[in-house]
Amino acid sequence: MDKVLIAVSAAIAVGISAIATAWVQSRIGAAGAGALAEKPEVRGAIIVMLAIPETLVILGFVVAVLILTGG
Amino acid sequence: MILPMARVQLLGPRDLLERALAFLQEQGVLELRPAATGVTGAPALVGPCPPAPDAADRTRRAEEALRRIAALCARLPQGHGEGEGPLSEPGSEALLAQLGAMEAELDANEARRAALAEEADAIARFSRLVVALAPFGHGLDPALEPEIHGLELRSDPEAIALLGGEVRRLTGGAYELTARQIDAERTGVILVVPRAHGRAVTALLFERGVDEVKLPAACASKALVDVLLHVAARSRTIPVEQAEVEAARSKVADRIAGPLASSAVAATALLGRLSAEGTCGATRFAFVVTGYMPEERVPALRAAAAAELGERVALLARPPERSEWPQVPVVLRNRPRVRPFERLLALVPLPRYGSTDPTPWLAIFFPLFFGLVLGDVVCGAAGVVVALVLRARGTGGALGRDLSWIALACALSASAFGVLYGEALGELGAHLGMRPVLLDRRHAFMAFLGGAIAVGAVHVAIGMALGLSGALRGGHRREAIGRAAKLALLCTAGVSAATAADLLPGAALRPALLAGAGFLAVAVAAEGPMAALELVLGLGNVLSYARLMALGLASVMLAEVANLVATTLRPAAAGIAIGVLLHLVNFTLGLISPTVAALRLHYVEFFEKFYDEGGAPYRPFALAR
Repeated sequence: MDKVLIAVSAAIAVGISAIATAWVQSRIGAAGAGALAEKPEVRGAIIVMLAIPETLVILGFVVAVLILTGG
Repeated sequence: MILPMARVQLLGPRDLLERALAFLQEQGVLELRPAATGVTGAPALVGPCPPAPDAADRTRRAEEALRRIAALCARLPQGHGEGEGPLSEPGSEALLAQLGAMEAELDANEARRAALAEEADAIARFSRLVVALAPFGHGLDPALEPEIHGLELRSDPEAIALLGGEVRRLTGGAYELTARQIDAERTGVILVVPRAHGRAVTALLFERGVDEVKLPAACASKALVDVLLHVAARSRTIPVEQAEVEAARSKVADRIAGPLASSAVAATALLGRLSAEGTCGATRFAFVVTGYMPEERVPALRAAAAAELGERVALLARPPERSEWPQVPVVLRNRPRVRPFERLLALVPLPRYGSTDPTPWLAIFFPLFFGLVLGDVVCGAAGVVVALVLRARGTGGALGRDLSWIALACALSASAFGVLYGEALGELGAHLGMRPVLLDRRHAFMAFLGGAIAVGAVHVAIGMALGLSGALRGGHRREAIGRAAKLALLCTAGVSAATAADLLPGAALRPALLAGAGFLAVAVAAEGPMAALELVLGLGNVLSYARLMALGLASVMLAEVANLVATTLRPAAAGIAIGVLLHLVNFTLGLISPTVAALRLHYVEFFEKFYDEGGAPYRPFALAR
């Protein structure tokens, strides 16, 4: 039972943060595509903005690893 | 590094201004700035240079010449000759007159060309009709001066009968109509009518929208035999005349293409000089041209100015003052092996003059992060091969050469980390006898995570040190104290983490925490309460490097899945095929994910600590090449 709870906890940690990242990236991606169509020179800023919410899922992943390894 | 620039002023008597500008344009090293700004006391002594009396006319004429030259060049076939010598000075009426003569010559040539093409087309169509209807004759009385109309109609007997009825009504029956099929859809018709009714018949054909094959004007009022003879003769001579016209056209192109191109360059240069005059400063008798250029090229410019303009012109140069730095253009200069990484800076604005060029750090850490994530001997070797092939082929020009160099560095780094991890296509390397030198990241998750975060801490600390150095260079003491305190706080946090991980003796924890509290107090005192918030953000920045571990782990796990599929799926051929496919997918992802992650870590986490963006690119006043 403990193993199941640990696995579910790790899945929730990474799953919810992945959903959050996906939602944020969808909004930034849509807005970024619109901005790129009008001003191609902002591509660098768009790439950076698109990559910023990845931190959420990375931190979720780190938490999941800590849960799984008992660290 | 950002190349040191010099603020340069060229001074001389007003009568030499045009020569001085032409000289500077030829040298192409000075980026001009208005003389009245940035020079202490200058506005009181030096005003904007008033335009020459004929400047507006010359500008108008040069612009018109450029427009007409572009139009002429578009009409010319490719000319290869050197031409018959330079045209008149740009901006002069003489040049416009020469262009007018060229346009007239081309107009005449094109008119002749169009007339011949039209005649050739008419004769071809008429010949087709005659061939279709031969043997051809008519029974009209020669006294009526028969007139021949050739027609091409849709094959519709009713329409032809209707046409015959209309022509009979107009001519009172004095006509002859011969029709014969040309092909499946068209019927050729020869209509012979008395000259007295010719105009009425032509009007009828026009009204009904009938496509009349018009004979050349030379055939008007000729007898049929004479028309046929004329058509036969012209069929032979028109191609010769067309070849002559084309030869004449090529000759014209060879004669004028070169001078036109030179004249366009000269006119563009003149417009540049006339525009540059507006940025110059002047007193009643003297001019001053001001701008920025690389400091290392000042001696060469000074020597060239002395040789070209003599002693009546003086060149003054000094390093830009700190207050001028925001206006100074930026030139990046790095070693040849580092220079390709300047391409990665193209995605963000240039650094300001006086700040730090991060290119050397990019050249170190970008391949390091890439290798840390991909870390596979086979993928790295494949990357090396691809990069070398692209380099050998010269794909993509200068950009391709630079990118292939970056790819080569990244692929070598991936191979090196592959050796450290003991990985070749995942755990396949272990089956081939490879052993992890540094760590086995498939099992040592926490060590891998700790390593990634430690690399991140070092990276962020370097960024903070660069920020501290920039603040000291800029003379911002308070900011420098705050940055130094935050950097020291990061170091104490690192010591604390190392103590907690049993890498350092436990006795170090207490002093580290006490020192950290002290540094926090200094940072808050120097930068206000926001410094505490920035510290939390800084911690987030360091933890963000955990993505290196996450992406690396995903990469090696995908390779393991590919190997598992290849060894367990039956039939074996299908398993191997899917396994190879998965490895290819992993390789492709392994190219994209580490690139984006490494760029993001640089742009967001690293640059945030020191990068001062907003530098203007260096655009010297030069001839358009």
